[in-house]
Amino acid sequence: MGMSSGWFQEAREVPEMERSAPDSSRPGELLDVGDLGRALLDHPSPGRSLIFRRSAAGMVVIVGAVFPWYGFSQSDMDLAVYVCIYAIVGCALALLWRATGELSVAHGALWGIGAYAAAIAATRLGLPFLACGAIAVAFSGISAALLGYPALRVKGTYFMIVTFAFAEIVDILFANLTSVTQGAQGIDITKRASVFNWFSLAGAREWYLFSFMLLVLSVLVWRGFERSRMGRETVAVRESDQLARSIMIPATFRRVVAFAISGLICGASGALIAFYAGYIDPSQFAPSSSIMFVELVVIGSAATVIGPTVGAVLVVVVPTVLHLSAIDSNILFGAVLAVVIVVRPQGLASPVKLPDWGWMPAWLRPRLLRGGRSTSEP
Amino acid sequence: MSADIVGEVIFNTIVSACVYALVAVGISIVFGLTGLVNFAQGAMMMFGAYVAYAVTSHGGWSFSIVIIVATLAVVLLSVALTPAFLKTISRPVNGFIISLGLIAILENGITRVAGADPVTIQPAFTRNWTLGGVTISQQDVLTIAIAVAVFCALAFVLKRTRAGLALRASADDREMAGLLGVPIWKMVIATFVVGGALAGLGGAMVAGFTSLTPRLGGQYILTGFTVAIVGGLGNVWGAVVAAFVVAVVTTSMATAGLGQWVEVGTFGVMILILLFRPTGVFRGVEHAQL
Repeated sequence: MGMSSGWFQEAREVPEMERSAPDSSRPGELLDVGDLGRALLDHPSPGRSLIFRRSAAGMVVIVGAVFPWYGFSQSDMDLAVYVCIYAIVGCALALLWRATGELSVAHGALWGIGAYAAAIAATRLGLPFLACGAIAVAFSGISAALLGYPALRVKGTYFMIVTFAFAEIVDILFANLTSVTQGAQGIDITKRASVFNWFSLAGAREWYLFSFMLLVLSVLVWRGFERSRMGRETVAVRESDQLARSIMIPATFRRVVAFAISGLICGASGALIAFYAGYIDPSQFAPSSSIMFVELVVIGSAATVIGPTVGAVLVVVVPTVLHLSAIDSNILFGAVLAVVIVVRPQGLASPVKLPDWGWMPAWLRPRLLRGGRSTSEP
Repeated sequence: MSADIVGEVIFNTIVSACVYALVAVGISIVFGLTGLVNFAQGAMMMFGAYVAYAVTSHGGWSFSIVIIVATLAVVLLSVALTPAFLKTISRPVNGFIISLGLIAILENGITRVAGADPVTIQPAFTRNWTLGGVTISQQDVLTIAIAVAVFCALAFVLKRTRAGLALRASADDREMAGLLGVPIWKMVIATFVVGGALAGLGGAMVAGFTSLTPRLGGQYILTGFTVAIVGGLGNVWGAVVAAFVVAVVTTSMATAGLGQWVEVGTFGVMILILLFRPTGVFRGVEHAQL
């Protein structure tokens, strides 16, 4: 496997059966396409059964939606809003990382582009909240596509450096294009956010429900993209650019689309932070914020749906619980990032290896937890 | 433009080229052997500069001791980090991510200890010479002299000694050199020592002529990396030549009053080169095409 593919590969175990004997009824057997064929044709994620995963996800969503009514203080809800906002960007980054195998250091900047687009639309044009959100999504998506087209031509470390340079450039633009962004002075957003004058985002609880809904939506977009034909074609491009081109997959276009979708999600989160915080300035979107999102996804894990959210919870909640200053928490998470990369590169919330039930007779194996196909079946 | 301004620009170009070259060669030499881009090279330089600041503010010590202490401190840091970087040698992207974490640790750690406000060192050398209308400070001359001496020493070691030959052989083909009896791990540690020493030296020198902030590393790393890219990663001499090219661009932009856009220009150049000629304008090592 080339250097370009992500580490979540290690977490996603492919049963030996699939590796050695491709289903003969499928065109994949004509040539040994390896990972490419698996990406396009065989795609069940092995591990826990579908019922288990669906019900676990449903339970997480229900708990997330009802917990504000169980006696949490205003400041707890405030943290929860930030967890959602960060986790949305985390999902965007995880989508890109899994689909293209590249880890972007520009997502803080894309997030900032969304935030500035929303803030300027609200203060200069006086547009309502949802319209500002749409503009933010559009701006971030277009910027991501414009960055992705050149950046995705290089891989691995070079890709990260190009995106890092982009983050620096955007930071300089935010600080110096004072006629548009008001420079270091920042922008105050005093407009109250509401959804069609119907659901007013007045308190932290309403904000939480709205951002939690957006988080669930981003997770659905992320997984939906991966399950779609386009998503699987993108993974095929990741595994082998040339083989993918040979079966008429427009490789560059697929990668750019993945980057653009990732940017769209960032834009939504950017609009949220602009309206929720009520004030933005360039320092919030400096390259260090991009590094924070890398920390979030690497520490949390991109191997599972819940990974980026776990990362966001760690990044937001741990400094508050430990009463750390911003500086101390940056030191802490820089260190944790390095340790996680060395010790557990697939992230903390990545799947643990399930016990192999193969030694049991088939009728005794636990059905709910069993994977799609057992490795030891003949 | 009068002659003394031209002279001033040329002189400033040479001084910045020397610092850029120190950073770029540090990145390049580690990359050549391990395939790892140590993005924390700039932050390590900043660390060295603050060590120099701490030592001078204690007072009484001569400039040569300050340089030696700063260099040793960064070398120690670099060697201490080598095991973590080596863990990722099969996946250099992971090493890059470690260096991102290291940037966060160093920048915020220094902010915590020394504060975010700019600090300046009492210059050790205050004499100025005037040469045909151009003012030349002793500090700048010293910077150039040290950089030239370091590059000559590096050239001698790499080209004329057995250790240098072993290092170049390992950079060319790590496994083959290992099979032929070159102690690869010693070589890897040696490159980290050299990389750390260059960062420490650069830091001590930079401390002499600019004010220090914890974000100093960020300014130098992207320019230094641009230089390393233009020169071809892993190509030490390319980096030295490219340092002059990039320094001409940055100082002339600064002289033309485009100071705040210098970085946009440099990074634009870097992105273009990465896209169209990823092995650099001068050829880098083979695995530069990640």
